Amino acid sequence: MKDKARANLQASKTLIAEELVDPAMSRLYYALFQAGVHALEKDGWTPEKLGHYEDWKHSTVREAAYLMRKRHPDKALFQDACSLRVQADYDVVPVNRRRVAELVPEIERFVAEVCA
Amino acid sequence: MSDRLQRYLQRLEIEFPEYVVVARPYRSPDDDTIDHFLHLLRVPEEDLGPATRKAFEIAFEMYGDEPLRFHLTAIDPETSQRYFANELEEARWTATPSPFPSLVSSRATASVLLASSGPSGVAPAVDWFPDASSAPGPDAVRRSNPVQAPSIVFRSTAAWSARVYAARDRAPGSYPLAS
Repeated sequence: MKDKARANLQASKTLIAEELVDPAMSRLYYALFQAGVHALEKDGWTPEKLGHYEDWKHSTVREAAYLMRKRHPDKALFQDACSLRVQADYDVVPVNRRRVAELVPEIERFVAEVCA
Repeated sequence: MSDRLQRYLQRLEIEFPEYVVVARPYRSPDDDTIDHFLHLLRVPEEDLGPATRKAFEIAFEMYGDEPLRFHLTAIDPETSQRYFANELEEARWTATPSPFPSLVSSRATASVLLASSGPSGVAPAVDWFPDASSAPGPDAVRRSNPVQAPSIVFRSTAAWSARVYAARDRAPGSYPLAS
């Protein structure tokens, strides 16, 4: 999953450079999500241990955000990115470009740290 | 809408009196734990991130370890105006003070005024939606997701009253819009 996380991060940066803001937000969230899954699996967590599912649900990963780096602000980071991704993918309201650009370095640090 | 979500919306209104808080029932296509989508409208671009994070921190404080059953995003002023014009108009009217102060507390009166006046009529005398779940939201035609229901411009009685009274103290005879 860490390779997919890195690839999605790169895709997000490429998309935002092309002013494709909603797709950039979508890829950015998945970079975070996949890096989060990688971090959890690395520590021996499974979806079954964290919830009642056999695969990684958005909600399961979001709720387990603290376990990845033991940092409380990561919970807000996941909630924030997830909400923006849903808006980007399913709503007519576009995501703000500056918001995505501000999230890129934050998620880049997260990916670099947990996928090292 | 649950009591806790209503209390959270009230808290957001108090925390961010300069923004408009919108809540709409929402079924996420790929996340069945979500039942509402909340937006903070008219948030200056530079405050989008901080306002969102603050809103989530308040939610974590109120919900504890319980999962949040909503998404939340902050929307800049230009996008708010373009995509939430109905909601902003509704907020403007809910923040308009009563020309009939003695009638403010009557829910029955509220219904009458709601029926007999509107955006083009006499300013309504009440907090339109003391029970937000019963609020008549604007149509949601503009939305592409068929599972989305009409949105609710949230106005708690307490916050609305506080704002009106504060404005009266500052400038008698003039009242704030929901800016």
